[in-house]
Amino acid sequence: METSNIKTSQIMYSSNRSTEPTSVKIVTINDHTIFVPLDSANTDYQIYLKWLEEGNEPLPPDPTPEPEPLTAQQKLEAAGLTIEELKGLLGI
Amino acid sequence: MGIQINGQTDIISATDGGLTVSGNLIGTASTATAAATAYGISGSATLSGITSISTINLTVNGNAYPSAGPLSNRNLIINGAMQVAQRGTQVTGVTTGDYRTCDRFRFAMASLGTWTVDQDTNAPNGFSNSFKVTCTTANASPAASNNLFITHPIEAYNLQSLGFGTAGAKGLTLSFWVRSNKTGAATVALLQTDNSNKLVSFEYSISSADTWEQKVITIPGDTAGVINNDNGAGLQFEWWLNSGSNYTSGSHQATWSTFSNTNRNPSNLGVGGATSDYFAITGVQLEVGSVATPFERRSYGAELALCQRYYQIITTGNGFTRVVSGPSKNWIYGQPMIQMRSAPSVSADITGTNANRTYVFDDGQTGHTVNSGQNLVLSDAGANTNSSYYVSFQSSIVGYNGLRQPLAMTTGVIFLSSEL
Repeated sequence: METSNIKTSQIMYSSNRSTEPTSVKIVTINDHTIFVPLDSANTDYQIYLKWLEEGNEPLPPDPTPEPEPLTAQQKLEAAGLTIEELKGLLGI
Repeated sequence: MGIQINGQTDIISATDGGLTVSGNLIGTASTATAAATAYGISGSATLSGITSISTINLTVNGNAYPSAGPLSNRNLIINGAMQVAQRGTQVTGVTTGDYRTCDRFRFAMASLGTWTVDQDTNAPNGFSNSFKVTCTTANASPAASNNLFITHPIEAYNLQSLGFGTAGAKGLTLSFWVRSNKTGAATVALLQTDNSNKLVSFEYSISSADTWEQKVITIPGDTAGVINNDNGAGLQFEWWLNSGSNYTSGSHQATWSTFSNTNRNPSNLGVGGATSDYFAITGVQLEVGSVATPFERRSYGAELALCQRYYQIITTGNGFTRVVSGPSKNWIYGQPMIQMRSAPSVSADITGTNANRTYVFDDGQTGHTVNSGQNLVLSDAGANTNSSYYVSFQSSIVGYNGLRQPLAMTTGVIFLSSEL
């Protein structure tokens, strides 16, 4: 890869959005998507840094994803209830 | 009746032209030498008791033997016979530099035409493949900064035996076969950017068009430029095809000199000045010493494994160690088949083939029908080390509460790259 191959880039974070980024998502001019590790020994990462030095900017990170909704069973477990206890509470 | 000397009769004649002996030559090897004298032995001679042969160039049946370095694993070039082409055998419409077709040989360019890159089957006797680039859109007047060359970087770990940066730095010999429609002077350069940022560059000549020719270049050792003992690029060869004046305005450097772009391509071959210009190369060997020995053959499997340290393709059949289906994504975790040079870049092409499968979402609604061969979307991937990677992917089918429904991945290809 060379800097002229890069169309866009975007910093990636883990799904729970920990503070440290995990990789750089690069889309090439041929619309090929590559995830580049933040490793100075990786030549794609070296080229990405050179691309930045040339005045290019990465796209903003994706918004923090909404947590996936809990299933009814997971909600019960989170509340520390069994189904029978819930039925008892509801009088059914 | 032979001539008798000291009672020996095996000497059958002695003239100014030579000494003819019918029996054995016996005696004690003398340290006295007549260096300029060459002795020839004809017939089916047997020499015994020789404990060493001191010679710069030893040739037996036309084959040179190493003047230094090991007798095996001599070739420091990976895929010099262009056998391995994991990325495919042909790429057309090439206008930017990258690794294409033959492994470990990168086609580099800056705004100099459009090209077809092949792992070609036209090769000199004894070889099956070559790395060939053919111009499909010419650039007859390259701008100063335009460039075009084939490059092969060598990992520094593999170069420590050279002793560069010490008084015992060893010289090298590069040999390769080349074929082009263009004739005349050309340049091959060698960069040592790892530490000292130096360069040597040499002129060679292509004598006949459309003809395989072997070229041999001897390269001095560098007593002043240490090659770091690491996984970076220790040396980088460049076979120049064409360039603008930024690369041609200097001169060849027979000894290691401070890096300068102007000295990289002083003899410009000019491939790509016209449509259908081509340049092909194979049989590339770099070895310690001052002679080019016969090309060292490695098995295809050994060559492939060497290439996979830098690039490898994982498919559903050869490397997926664990696929996990989550509520909205599928995850693949795996280890490269060969430990890679560094944490690799990861890309993937994953396809779901659950033909006409109808999903029933959590709310009981009947979901979408998945078409055969639907591509899954690569959503994330990465590798934190050189020995593990992960890929996550999801379908485009959105169901209950906006969750994307995972498909069972049935075919998939993952590309791992830690090229130099």
